[in-house]
Amino acid sequence: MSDLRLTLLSELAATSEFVDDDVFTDVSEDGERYTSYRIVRMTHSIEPNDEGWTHLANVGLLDGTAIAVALLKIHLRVVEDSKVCQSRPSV
Amino acid sequence: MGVDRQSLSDLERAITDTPNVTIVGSTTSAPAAVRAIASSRPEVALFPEDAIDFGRMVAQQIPDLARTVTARAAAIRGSNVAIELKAVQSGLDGVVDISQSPSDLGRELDAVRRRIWTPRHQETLEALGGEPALLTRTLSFDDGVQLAVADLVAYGLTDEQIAGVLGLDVQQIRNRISEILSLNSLSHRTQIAVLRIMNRKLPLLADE
Repeated sequence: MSDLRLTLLSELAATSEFVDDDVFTDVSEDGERYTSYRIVRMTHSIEPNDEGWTHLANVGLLDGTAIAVALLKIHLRVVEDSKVCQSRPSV
Repeated sequence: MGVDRQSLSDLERAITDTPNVTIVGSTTSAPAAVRAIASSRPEVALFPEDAIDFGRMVAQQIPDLARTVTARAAAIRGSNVAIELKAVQSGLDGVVDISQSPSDLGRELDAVRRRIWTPRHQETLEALGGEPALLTRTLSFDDGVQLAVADLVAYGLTDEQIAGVLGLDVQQIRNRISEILSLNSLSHRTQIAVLRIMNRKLPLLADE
């Protein structure tokens, strides 16, 4: 990720400008674990790279219990792949 | 579906000397076992480890009262995490080690009878998602698309293949799978496949 070149997006940019559905599901643990997130805000676009990531976004679990940063591959206004770095707020 | 005669004989021999335990009957036949449990309501029904599925299915066939009275347990020799996981997920009330001393076996059977049996591998089972009676659940769906997705997962299709069959994009399929998991309090995709297969009803094969 350190090699990715990011361009900051306007805070006024709505998620609907990038995707049709702001909910996407991240698949992990050898394809067994499915976790759905809602895009809170698209924060950066990413210049073309070998891994195909197109955007960086702030995302949250659907039940609101965690926030995260996600690398996204968006193609034809659909999130095709994701890599989520989740962080739970400390109590 | 029945129980292997040799397994049953081994089981009978193992518990013969157990204090405060009386064998009220044994059978290799599923219908006979269901009839016996429903009529005589023994305190514990024991199933050899190769007949855990039989023990799970018996609960679906006996009246509610008999199910309340009769605890069900798998009988194994030694300790086996895989068998314990299967028994717990199948809704059995315990797993007893028939290779232990008669007095220890008696204590373990009593814990099963009183429904206070504790798995030997509790922490491992929890780490593996070994939720009690998971395999006895019936899947719920909000709509026909979720049902179709679950069926196709059960047929072994990938998310990409399911998307192709249903004319949806892969992300929509993943969202649907996530919805099914959440709706049914499941944690893994394979659980959908397993439960969907197990929820299928067998036709009546015996003569009426």
